[in-house]
Amino acid sequence: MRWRLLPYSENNAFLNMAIDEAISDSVQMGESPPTIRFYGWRPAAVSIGYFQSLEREVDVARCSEAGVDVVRRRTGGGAVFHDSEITYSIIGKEGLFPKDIIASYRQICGSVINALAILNINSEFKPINDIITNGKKISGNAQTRRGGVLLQHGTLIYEVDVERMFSLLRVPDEKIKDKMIASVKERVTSIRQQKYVRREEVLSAMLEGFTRGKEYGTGELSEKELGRAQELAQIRYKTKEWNNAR
Amino acid sequence: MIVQEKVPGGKLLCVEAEFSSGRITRIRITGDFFLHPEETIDGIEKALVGTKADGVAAKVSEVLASNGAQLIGASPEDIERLVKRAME
Repeated sequence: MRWRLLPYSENNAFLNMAIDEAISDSVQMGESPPTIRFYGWRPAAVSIGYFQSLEREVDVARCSEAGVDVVRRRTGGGAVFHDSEITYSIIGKEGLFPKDIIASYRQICGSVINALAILNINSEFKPINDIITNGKKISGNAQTRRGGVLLQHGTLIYEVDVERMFSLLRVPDEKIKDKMIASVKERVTSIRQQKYVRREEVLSAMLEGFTRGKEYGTGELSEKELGRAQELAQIRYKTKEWNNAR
Repeated sequence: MIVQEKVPGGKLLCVEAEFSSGRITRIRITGDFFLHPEETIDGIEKALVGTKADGVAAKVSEVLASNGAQLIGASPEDIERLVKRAME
């Protein structure tokens, strides 16, 4: 099985989520090979999980003032502030991955763990969907399966600004916000907190971590995928109906 | 009434529900759990309207089974427990 590698690119939040869906559709129809994709978010963005309440999770007005996009993902999981991090997606027919969901998270997260090991950062998989280093979260991941296709996307935190993140997210009780910030600082880390590594080095480690043992070729989105992604960004991911759905 | 809980060993689950004569009249289930396929949540919420609190887990399991869906990070029993708390 030959994989397609889509090199790192930066897009807005709506197009990023639409590209993942467009690739999944093409893979489902057998028009595209299984795909590994690396990307970033410009402008910075908050993504929320499919089942989260937008108004309870995100201060949409603050995001808008700060020029931060807000998008609902097609996958479950929690709210993520995408600023200085590297995001990956891996998309392929379900048969390429373990049937058991936790086992498939473990296998795919193994690629991120490989990448961190290349950077001499020890990490481990923490079910359900996290990767931790020295007991702190360094990567969050989210998976969905539909139409026989598995999509998993996840972030590898390069740098984290917890104060800025909390200025954009809502907390259940403003009075305990400082406590929550302190608690997140205790529970979340970043590559830069572990050691000095340039982003380019992280990207090349991710590439090696994800392609190890796989036959692959560097490629690009097909015209059809790009067209479908642009359409999905407009008709789904940018719309209030989608983002305010829950 | 909204109640939420970090499911032990699982994810955050939040249930917002209204009741009349012991039956659910409106329910919204949110949180950072996973459910494949995701749209099954609409079927679950729809099926729970008219259900009594102690029938919630069975009804959720039934919808999951009929859609070949998988709920990860929370269970039908967790949803039932939160519905009961929302009723108090």
